Amino acid sequence: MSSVMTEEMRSFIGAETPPITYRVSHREIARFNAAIRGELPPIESDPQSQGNPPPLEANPLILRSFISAPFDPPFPEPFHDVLDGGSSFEFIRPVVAGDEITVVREMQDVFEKSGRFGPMLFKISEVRYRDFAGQLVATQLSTSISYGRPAGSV
Amino acid sequence: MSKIHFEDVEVGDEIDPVRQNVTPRQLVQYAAVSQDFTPIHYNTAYAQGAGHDDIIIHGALKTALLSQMLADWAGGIGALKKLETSYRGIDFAGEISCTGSVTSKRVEDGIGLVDVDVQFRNSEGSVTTPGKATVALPKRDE
Repeated sequence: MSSVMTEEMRSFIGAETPPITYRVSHREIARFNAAIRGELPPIESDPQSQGNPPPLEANPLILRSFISAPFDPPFPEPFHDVLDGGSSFEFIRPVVAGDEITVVREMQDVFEKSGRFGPMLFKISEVRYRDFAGQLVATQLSTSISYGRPAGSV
Repeated sequence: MSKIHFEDVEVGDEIDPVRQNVTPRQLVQYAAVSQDFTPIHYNTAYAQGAGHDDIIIHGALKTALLSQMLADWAGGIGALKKLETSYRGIDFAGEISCTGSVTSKRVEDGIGLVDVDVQFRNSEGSVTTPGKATVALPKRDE
């Protein structure tokens, strides 16, 4: 079976995505927390629009919804299908309503393995989440596995 | 929600488990709030085309459910410091459970830290996503 790894893919090791910033609203946290508990989200106007909302702490995995920008130029993805291989989070402080979170992803490794779905491409990256003051809120080491149908075939 | 302190915890303690019926609606809800619109999580035909039996639970949702179990256990006064998960099996929508137990405890820089092994289990009780976590718990004199 021929390899899907290319020198172009290897050249992304050490590359960082452009920073992208998200403002975290009270309503967004309420919806995220409800989704984790399998509850319908509360139907209410956003308390942030009504003066002094009660403090609301997000489930820490809300960080995963703050998606990093694409690499520029984009990573030459060979496959269409993607699986999440796992994550290792370090949380420095909770995410709360009103936060502005800036996200940067650094590619740390790219390699190929063969699995039940045929050749699989593993990408190891570290995502850093910083607040308005530039202080780290959390880091995530993640493993993404792409496999299956060729990119652009579906 | 009970408040648990560092002194209350012993090695071997079980974390209060979470049992939940993860429905297709919840997966759609999670897709919306997480921005993960990969169709294998809500489109059965697409998931089957990708080689799966049915729509599958997002890996990050499994981690989020484990983190919620730990947050509920810590009673709103502890803080999750680390969480590592490894997705070793695919889970389909349906009954799932999250479990965990304390493996060690220590004080670092005056902060009480508790290490926990956690498990995400499918409807048959098999562990599909093991993990390790560290939770900071306040001491009684704080």
